[in-house]
Amino acid sequence: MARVQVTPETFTLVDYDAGAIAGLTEELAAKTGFPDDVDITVEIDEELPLPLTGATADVVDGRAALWFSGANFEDGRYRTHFDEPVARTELAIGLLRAADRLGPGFADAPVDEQLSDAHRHAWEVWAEGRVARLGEHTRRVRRLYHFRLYNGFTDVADAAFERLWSADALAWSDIEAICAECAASDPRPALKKKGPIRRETLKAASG
Amino acid sequence: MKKILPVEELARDSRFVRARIEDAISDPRQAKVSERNTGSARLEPARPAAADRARQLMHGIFVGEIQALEGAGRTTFDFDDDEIPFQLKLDMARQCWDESRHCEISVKLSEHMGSEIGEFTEATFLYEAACAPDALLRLTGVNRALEGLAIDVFNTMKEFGDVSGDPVLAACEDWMLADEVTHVKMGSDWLRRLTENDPERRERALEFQRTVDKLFSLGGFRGETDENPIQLARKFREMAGFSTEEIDDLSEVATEAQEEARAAADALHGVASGD
Repeated sequence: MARVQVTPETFTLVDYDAGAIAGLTEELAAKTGFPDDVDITVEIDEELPLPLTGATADVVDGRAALWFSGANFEDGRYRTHFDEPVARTELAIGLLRAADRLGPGFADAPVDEQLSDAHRHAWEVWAEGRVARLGEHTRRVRRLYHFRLYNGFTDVADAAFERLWSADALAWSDIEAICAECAASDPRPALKKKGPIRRETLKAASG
Repeated sequence: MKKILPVEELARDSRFVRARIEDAISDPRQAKVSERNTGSARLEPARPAAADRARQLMHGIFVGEIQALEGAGRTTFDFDDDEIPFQLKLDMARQCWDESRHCEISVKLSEHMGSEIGEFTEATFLYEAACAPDALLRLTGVNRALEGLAIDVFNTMKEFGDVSGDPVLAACEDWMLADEVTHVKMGSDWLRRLTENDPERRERALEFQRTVDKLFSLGGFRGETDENPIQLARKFREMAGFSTEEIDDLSEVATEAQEEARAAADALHGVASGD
């Protein structure tokens, strides 16, 4: 059995190729230093078009379980087409975050769907900053906007973003501390947690 | 210079990719998404994918501003002085200045949100629906329907800026909203003046507006319930010269558009699944 498994094997709603995505994942796993002995599953929900993005990166039964909305890999200019540079970034972020979870520093981190939006976006900033240093395509300002939306449009949040983007080593407790610092300076009332978009989570929530 | 410029001849550089509205409607993923109950469709940070939804909407506003500029600009040129009063052309010229400023603001807001020009497609139905060859229909299409939609969209984005604590977005949208109210008010005033002694012509223009407004409701994109991402901005429409009855009528048109889109999607989904 291959180390990387992509679901579905055949896409019917979008012009994506599971073999090509598996190949990209293998390549990026090597580039990001993902452990050789850990299996990786990549599940893509092809029913979700842009702008309905979403992704999770967890470790389940010792393997990296990456879930992506199809929108995360979609070319915004050509409906249903695969955007390789964007897909590379998304896969690399997922792999780095799953690798973080394999280490002791993130042992206490909740699974992705239970993370607060602030924590989730802070962690993704750190991951995308590392992807940038690997020489991959990244979207720094977009990431800053996402971060500000859930950690505040404040100078404190902007300074936190810079620290996260350029950090080499962090632990879950560091992410928590940075988000607490942002929250303390955020004048907004507490935001409601972002709702789920994944089919299985919605089904579970509806009972 | 050519009069009544067809949509195919609008000038765009290579960054812009056009999308047909039919492609979005016939995309089988739309029916799949509508089966998922992800809660209120209102644009707020707690909505799934809120940031990317807002970025895409902002890009849509940007290309809409280009088309509004083109619509108002064409009106200053497409009609001779015996067809429309010169003062109306001056109003349209002033509107062009506003729209070009809105284009620049929208580009900067898109950059603020991390988007690039051309990151998303451009649908040109605004220009197509608004640029009627009849001057009065043009006025209702551009200044009442298109600019009216702009009021609703800007108010929605301003509220998103307020609730997300984004001072840049909230302030810019508020400024542009003020301009749009003026543009719609100009349309409302000119419609009344040009049809003062011709109630039948006014009725035809309003019927045309009703048709365009249904199109611009985009199958439930705009309305007054939690299912509609863009909310009808009643207060600002009243300031722009819409009567309560006209806004109620628009609300009904939006509901009809939503029901028709739902029926079409069900039919399409039924065909696709072999039911």
